[in-house]
Amino acid sequence: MNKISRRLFLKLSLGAGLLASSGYIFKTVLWPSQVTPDETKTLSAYLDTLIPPDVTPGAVQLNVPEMIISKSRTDRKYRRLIKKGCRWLDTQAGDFKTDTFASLGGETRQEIVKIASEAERSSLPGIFFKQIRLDAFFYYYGTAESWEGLGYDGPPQPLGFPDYTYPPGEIT
Amino acid sequence: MTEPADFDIVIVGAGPGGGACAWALSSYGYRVLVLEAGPAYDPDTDYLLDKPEWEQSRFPDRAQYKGRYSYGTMQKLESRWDKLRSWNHIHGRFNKTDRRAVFGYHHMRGIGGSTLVFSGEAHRFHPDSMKMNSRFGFAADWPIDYRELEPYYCSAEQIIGVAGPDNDPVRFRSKPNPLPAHQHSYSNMRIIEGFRKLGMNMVHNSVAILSEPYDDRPECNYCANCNRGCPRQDKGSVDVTFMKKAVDSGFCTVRTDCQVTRLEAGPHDTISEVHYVDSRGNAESVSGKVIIVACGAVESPRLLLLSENSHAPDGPGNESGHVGRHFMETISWVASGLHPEPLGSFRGISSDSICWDFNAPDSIPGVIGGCRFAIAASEAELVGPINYAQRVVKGWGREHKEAMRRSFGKVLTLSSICESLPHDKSFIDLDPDEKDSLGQTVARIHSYLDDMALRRLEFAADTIREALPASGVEEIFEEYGNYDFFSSTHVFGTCRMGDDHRESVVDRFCRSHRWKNLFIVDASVFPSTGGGESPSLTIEALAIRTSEYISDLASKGEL
Repeated sequence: MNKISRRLFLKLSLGAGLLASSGYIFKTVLWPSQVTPDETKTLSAYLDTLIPPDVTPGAVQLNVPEMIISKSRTDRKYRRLIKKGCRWLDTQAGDFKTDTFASLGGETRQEIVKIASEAERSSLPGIFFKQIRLDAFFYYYGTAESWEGLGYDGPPQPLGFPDYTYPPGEIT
Repeated sequence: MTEPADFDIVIVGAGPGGGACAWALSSYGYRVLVLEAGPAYDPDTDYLLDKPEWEQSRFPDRAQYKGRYSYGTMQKLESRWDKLRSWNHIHGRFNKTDRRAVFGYHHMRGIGGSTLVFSGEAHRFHPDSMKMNSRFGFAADWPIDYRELEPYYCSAEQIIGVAGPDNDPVRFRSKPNPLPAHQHSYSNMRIIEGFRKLGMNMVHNSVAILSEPYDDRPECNYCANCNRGCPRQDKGSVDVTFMKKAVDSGFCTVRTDCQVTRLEAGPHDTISEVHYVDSRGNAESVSGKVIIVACGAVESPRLLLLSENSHAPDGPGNESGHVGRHFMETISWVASGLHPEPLGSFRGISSDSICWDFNAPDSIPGVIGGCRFAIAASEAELVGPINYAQRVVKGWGREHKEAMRRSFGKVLTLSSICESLPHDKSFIDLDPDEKDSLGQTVARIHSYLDDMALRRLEFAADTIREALPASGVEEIFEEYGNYDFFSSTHVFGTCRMGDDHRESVVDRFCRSHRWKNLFIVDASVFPSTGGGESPSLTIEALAIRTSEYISDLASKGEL
């Protein structure tokens, strides 16, 4: 039986290690998989905490999660941020004896979102909070259903605002 | 393939300079060809202001038509100017580094050029701003004065339909504006009152936005979103005014999606051909008795520099070595705050009021170069719910939604645009390492703001910091300016006009000193920028004047 030399053994080991790690790097960094159903649940719960329903619909009712996931399909950096952010949320949920952020009650979810909102801006929860906050408002307030109560009779056209010289609401 | 010389005039670029030339020259009966790198937008179908998602995009320009530029190393930021850093109460400093950052040169390609996205301001230059060298020892004098340009201002105002006041004490006018000024909006009255408290005057702004039906176009309906493309066509952008009239004349042919790559300098001091790549990617060329370059103060010098050959070893027009030099940019300051009362400040025209008190070049104490102040909620993009949610209202959750309901429509915004003066470190050259999609070397923008420029900006910022509280604003939540960001819409100076061929690129009629059939008609010919006046009306007036000169030359057989 041929013996494998120590040098060859080291080479093979190194090669196998590189292959394994390159697969890991490819999957998690270069080309992360699409957002999974479990991650969608976490993201939806998070978005409904950022924009809860009250007299106007919440983020989920206006399909904000779908719009954000749709954006993530063609933007791998963004997708990676969402996946990491959801993992962070679920990890935080573990402190409350639960597996997922989505299974938490409203007040506990708010506690966790508060932690993210106050996190260092360059940290994962800080970046996740800032980016998803911007995007959630971008999609949510891009729907006419969200405008009720704002005193806004948009969109700007075709009617315009010919009452512009009067106090708002004085002329209907 | 060379086309037959079917055209008397070939115009490169369909913005305010090229569009006004196309109108004037076709109205004289010359056969005009306009080559435009961008598309033609259709106001009836392309603009999004009637859609719920209108705020999710600005002007719907298409990615393939965006120009590509590179930038020289920007200057280090100094702590002594920290009061001029850009910030927002939610996001903190926008530029977190210690070096000026690049936000970009915001050039618009397409029929209409930058007027597609302008706020409609139609300003005449302050006469003193045209004599910056002889009066103040800075920049260069215009070889013409205000009175020579005045009749052409009137012509341009008639075409685009300017609504404005007729009582400017500084800018003499021989004819009234074609339309009365717009009424001030309810929200802007707060700012006018605030300025009055400070002893300053806010007056009606002159705008190419119709206050009454005019020239088969309807009056404005005050949606406050001129910069997203006007679907009603009441804004006098070049596409629906000059270019429409030029095409309707039957003498003007327009080719869109045609990128001009080079001018062919030939013998006898003439430009013999214009080379371009058409919409299908084919290399074409065309000749004309007259060639007019109107691509703006970054692309025009680029085209000249790219056109070097044995007849013009430094590029046509660059015999003086001044092509690309004297680059002047937009120096502005914008600040926004919340007023306690509901104002509906998302309504109106973009900017119905303006303060010219510090517009003259010697009006700011201790500083050369003026500025103007104007109302700018639209320019700051604070006229829709998305921007309120992202930038105005802090936080998240139920409290955020409730605060949105309390805050929407209460933002007041003021902006100032200041004079920009030439500096040796501000210029345009070709970047040897960057190519565009056609493999052509791109323009590289070098920008530097010296202490004088920053003191001007400081004056603007300090004045706005007084004026907003005087207008009732309780808290300023955002300020941004050009100290820590290069961000320019108005650019000037890189093909300077002058009487001395050793110190300029074109003469007083925008004609190259050497190349007798080459004219440049855009803000690159401006020897100075003015104290914050928007430049499009002056470009149009110059273009109409140049067209008249070309017609005179042609009628004398001198072309």
